[in-house]
Amino acid sequence: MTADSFKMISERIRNFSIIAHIDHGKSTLADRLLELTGALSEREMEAQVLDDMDLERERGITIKSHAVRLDYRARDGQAYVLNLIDTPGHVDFSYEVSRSLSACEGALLVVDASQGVEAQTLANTYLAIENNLELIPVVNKIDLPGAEPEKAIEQIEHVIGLETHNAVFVSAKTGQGVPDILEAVVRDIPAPKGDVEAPLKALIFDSWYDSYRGVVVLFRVIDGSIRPGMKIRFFNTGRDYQVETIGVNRPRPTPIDKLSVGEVGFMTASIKTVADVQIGDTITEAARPTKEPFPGFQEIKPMVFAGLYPVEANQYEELRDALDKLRLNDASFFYEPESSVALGFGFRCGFLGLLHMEIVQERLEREFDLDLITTAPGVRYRVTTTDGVVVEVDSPAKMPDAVRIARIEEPIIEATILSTDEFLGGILPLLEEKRGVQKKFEYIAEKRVMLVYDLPLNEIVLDFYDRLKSVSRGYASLDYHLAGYVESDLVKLDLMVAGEPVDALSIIVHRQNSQARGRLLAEKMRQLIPRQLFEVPIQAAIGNKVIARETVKALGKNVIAKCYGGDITRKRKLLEKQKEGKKRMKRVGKVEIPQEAFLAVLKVNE
Amino acid sequence: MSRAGIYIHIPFCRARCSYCDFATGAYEGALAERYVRAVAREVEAFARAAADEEVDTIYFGGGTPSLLTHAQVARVIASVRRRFRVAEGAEVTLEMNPGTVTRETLRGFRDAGINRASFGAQTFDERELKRLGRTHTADDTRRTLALLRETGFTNISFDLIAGLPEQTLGAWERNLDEALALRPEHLSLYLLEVHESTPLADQIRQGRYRRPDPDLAAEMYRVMVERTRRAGYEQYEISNFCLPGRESRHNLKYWTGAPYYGFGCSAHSFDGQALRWSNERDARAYVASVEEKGSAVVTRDELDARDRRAEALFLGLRLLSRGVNLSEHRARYHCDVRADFAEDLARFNEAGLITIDGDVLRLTPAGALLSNEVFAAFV
Repeated sequence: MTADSFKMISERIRNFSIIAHIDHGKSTLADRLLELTGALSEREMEAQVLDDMDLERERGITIKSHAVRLDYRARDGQAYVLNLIDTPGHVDFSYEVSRSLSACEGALLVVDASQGVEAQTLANTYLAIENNLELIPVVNKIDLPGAEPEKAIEQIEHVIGLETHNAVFVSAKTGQGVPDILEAVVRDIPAPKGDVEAPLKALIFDSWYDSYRGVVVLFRVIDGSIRPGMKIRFFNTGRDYQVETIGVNRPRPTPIDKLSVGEVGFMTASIKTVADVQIGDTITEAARPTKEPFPGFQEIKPMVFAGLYPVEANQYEELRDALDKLRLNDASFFYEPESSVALGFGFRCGFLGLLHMEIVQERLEREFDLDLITTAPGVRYRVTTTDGVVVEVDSPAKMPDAVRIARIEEPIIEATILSTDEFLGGILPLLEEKRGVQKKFEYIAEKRVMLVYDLPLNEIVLDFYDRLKSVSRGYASLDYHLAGYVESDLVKLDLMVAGEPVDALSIIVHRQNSQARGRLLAEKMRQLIPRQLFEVPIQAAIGNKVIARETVKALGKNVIAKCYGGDITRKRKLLEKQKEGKKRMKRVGKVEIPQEAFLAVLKVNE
Repeated sequence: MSRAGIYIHIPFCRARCSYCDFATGAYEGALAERYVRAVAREVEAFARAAADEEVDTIYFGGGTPSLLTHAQVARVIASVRRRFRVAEGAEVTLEMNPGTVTRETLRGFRDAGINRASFGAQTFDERELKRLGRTHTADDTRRTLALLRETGFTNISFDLIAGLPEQTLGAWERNLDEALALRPEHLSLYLLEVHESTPLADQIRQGRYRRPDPDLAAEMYRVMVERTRRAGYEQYEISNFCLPGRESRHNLKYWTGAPYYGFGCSAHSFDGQALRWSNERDARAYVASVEEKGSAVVTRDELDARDRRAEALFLGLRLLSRGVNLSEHRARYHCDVRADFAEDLARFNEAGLITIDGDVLRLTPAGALLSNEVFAAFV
């Protein structure tokens, strides 16, 4: 059946998204829906069709949004067009998620029959409810031995407060029940409403860079229609472009001559970089602009900051080129040149969150073949100096001298944690240690607890998530959103190696945790810095006050005792390898510091 | 150019020692016979040296060369004499294991032309020997030394290993005392290296033995440097000690950039200029290759200028008393070590690892222990 044979009237369109916790089966379910509607033959199927980045497949996560158009003939005999908008699920990308959701009229709420509702599901469900989406509960993995579909349903009703009369029970893996989802989508999700005669109004919910086509923009038409050749304007940036092509993904990109009210598709318009396309912005016609943009637009602001440095100084230019190229594709991270006494020239980078940081770092190393040192991630502080000036500080190096600081404010998040109550013994002290303030403690089901805490973001970026996973054996789930800034008693903790301060190892911590963290950090450095020709003293200090001290003993021996039999080549190779190893370290004063040391700040567990 | 040395590899052992990563296998009479024939053929077919090139050392290493009969040893030496001019008074060494030799075999080896004996004593502690998988006892070592003297050997060397699993400083001192009391002309005293894929590495991984403590090994090294010096031995190389004039002339070739030609499986060679090459490692494959085409070379390593000057430094510096003459080095390799490595040399000097005495750069005993740190700067 071809696209043309469908009469595109908006009553036959259903736009929906899938909300699910990681590993609850979203990608498998999407694959199944594609297969059922004939969008892909079984031969073309590979797992996680919509996650086309290697990283997405490997990690089983969705980083970019996708939209795919499915043709579906329902049991009522009518042909429908279903637009499945796949969104990232992770908290780092919650703004993108909110934009993708607002392009939909409904969503499938997928819950694993044995795991129940998780924090991520909860947060994204609330986003969907805020956007007035119709939700269809889907209980997945009912084929597994541990499945308890009734409990999952009970949690959906109790925790989310959602009606479950229309719930669908499926196994995305075996395909059981999946056709019922398509029927529920047609039946329960409202058709889009809009005025086809009104000026063009379309919501941008994602974009990416394609080396052949330039920037490809994903959007949903709210009012009016869009055609190739049309002169359009981005409402917030005010930039004008001429539409070159429009099309839909089925899932292969397929050109089309018009997209109208309620439809979802892509557009190219000779746009050079994704930074020119802001997610949440509104596309309108340049000659006849809409009065009101689609609501909810925000500038994306990085939340987590870290220094990225090439291991070898001569890779600086390559790193800059790689960052430029990556930004073509990901406008949500920012970078500016920075230099460090210890690490040389590099970049201060801002990310949406820790996952985003890991992704950028991994893509730089993988796609651009760079060796990088990443400094400990931090947040952006608001510092008022004694002369009344407010400065934003996103790096310990930029923190003014203590005597010049009148007050420091730090970003606070509201975190929601869901867990079974058996792990509370580990979770509550952790939240305490991380300076959490309890706002809610609630049993949402038998043995299942929801905690809501205000927490400083800087505690989250250090090692909170890893430790939450470890105290709950991986069961607790976490979601959060920024809740503002509060004044806080923060200090800069410096680390000195052989008497030299190592700027890249400085961190900003709360005074209450500074002693303990200083001790642990010094100890960790002692373990990580290999023994050298000299004894190496390590000190942690706040201002001039040393709070912890450790010593790396001088190296005992490093000798090839037996050097005969004539295989000199092997000895030379061995020495070259040692030299290579030294090259990968950073020399600070007389001391060679391995790369892992710069990340140790992160991994200091108590 | 200094004269060349000949190395003959004999890859047979009665049992494999737990720390060994050399090319060696169990002794089989029939294979040994074919092997000796192949070595003789390889020597005679050797094309890389002039027909009248003079050599002044021959070294039978292994494995356990003393598992060969004296007649087999004599045949190999004869092949060397046919192919090369062997200098008057050449040093001809045979490695042996204590307990594998008798008065008769030693006489036979002497008659075949062997004039220097080197054997792996390793330790005089019976428990330590057992742990290493050695088949001999401490008494075998004493008896072998006595037999060698009795049969007229006047140039004897043996090896001891320091830093064995579970070895204490006291045990090492007792080893040194006994070794020095026996007054061999030459001693090789090694710090144990645990090579991956040896039984010893496995045993340590499985937790049967603790990994030897590097600080304790360093202390053992310092003790041995001191005691050998007091006993009148010269430490002429990082791990080698001798009575005056009794350096291993053959092994000196490795450290001074002299040519050496290796025959037998896994044997390595150097042309004295810029080419290193080596033979097939496996004994049977080696024999097959030589039988087919007269040689068994499998690797070639052409040294560039940088490799050559790096080798000259890291090999030359192993000779602690001789050191490296920086003017000669500069004339030969066009590299001004003082200028090119100024920062490194300052660091090493400050740490007490090197001395520069006039024109001569030397490692100190402390520098010998950390020599890889110094050498790595030069490669």
